[in-house]
Amino acid sequence: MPAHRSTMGSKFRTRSSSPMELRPMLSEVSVLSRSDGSASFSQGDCCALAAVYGPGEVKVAKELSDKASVEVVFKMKVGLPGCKEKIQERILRNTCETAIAATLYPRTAIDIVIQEMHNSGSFLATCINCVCMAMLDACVDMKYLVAAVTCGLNSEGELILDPTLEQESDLTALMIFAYESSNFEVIATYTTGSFTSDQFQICLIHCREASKHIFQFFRDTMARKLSK
Amino acid sequence: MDQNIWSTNGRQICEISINIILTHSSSGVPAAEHCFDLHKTSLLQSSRYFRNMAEVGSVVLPGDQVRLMINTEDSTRFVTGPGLRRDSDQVTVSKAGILKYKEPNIYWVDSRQKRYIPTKGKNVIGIVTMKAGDVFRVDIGGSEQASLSYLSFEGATKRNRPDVKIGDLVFGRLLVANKDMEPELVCISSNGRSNGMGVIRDGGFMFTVPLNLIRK
Repeated sequence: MPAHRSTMGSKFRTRSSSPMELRPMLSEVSVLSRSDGSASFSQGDCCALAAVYGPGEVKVAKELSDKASVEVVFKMKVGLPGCKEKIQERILRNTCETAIAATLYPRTAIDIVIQEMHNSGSFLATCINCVCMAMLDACVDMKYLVAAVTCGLNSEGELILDPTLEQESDLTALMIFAYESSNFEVIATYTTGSFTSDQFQICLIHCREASKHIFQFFRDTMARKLSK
Repeated sequence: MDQNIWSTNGRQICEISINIILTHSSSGVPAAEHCFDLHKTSLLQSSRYFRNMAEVGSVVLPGDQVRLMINTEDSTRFVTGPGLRRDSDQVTVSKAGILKYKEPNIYWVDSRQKRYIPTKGKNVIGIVTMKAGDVFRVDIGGSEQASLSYLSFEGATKRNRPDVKIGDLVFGRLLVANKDMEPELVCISSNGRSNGMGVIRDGGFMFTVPLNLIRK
């Protein structure tokens, strides 16, 4: 199946113009031929490739009698996996498992493999969005879509959406929010650094608006794939 | 056997012939002639769409609510097919695809799925992987292997066992297939005849294709 490419360029300008805009997004679906679903997703220079296999056979040790067992493997560009990668796998797994209607597939396994292509900041959010696209491509039953947005607070208290690697090193706080598509509620939060509760609420509101753009992007990508 | 079999698990058998073109699941329609539908099941179980029906839908994604167009007298009864979830009055989409509607009250989502989920009553082609006592384990492309009893063949008795070896292709019907139980395959119909089911002999090729090609 040819890869289906979709870009969202015209609405979003480059990083240098405004800190309150998301980086331009680019996505291709069904890039891998042997997996049940696959997608590559980039936000600016940051790029990830995800593959979903499932629902398929599960090892007896990992079998769950009432729902599907979701496993995530995270592969970095260089080096051997360590603790940081395990944490990322755990976050991805917990976020994406809420979206899958796992009770429809008891005693099966849904395996997700993410490959880091390039990391230029806000990589975890890119991974979550990539996995959501791959699951859409694999036609796994889902309750809603998941979109993740990163925002950071610098030392002056300014909010920066989708910070790059250089910007991330100057931040006092970094927050990643994952939203769902039916009511735009938060389903996952991952924060580092220190911030006040007011700042947290302001970040929540801005990230929710940004997530709506990501959901619209998912819709446009799938519409292009299905119209062919 | 002068016919090609399309089965619902995305597998197709072709007779050996010089003009067979080997296809990969990522390319287009395989060069198959004489395809025939082997089953006519209700839309509750299949996501096949009828060619004479106008496309009612747009692209839907999981989480979308479906607005129902009911034009029957009994407005509370409607049927939701694959890709739709119901809780009380709300109908939510659970797969990405195109929403389809058929008169009078049937809705489903047509999606491009590659992985096969076994459904009861469908005809499938499987590969025998193991023989455990009186039961064969058959790989039908789902998450679990199906079981096929040796007595489920035409004319099989305890003394007259069918000639099935590991690696054979069998064409059968799913008797039991739901999310909670192991799938069961039979190569015999309810009145004891085989109707073309059973071990596929005389050579050939088997292709695995995406499910939407089967359902055209």
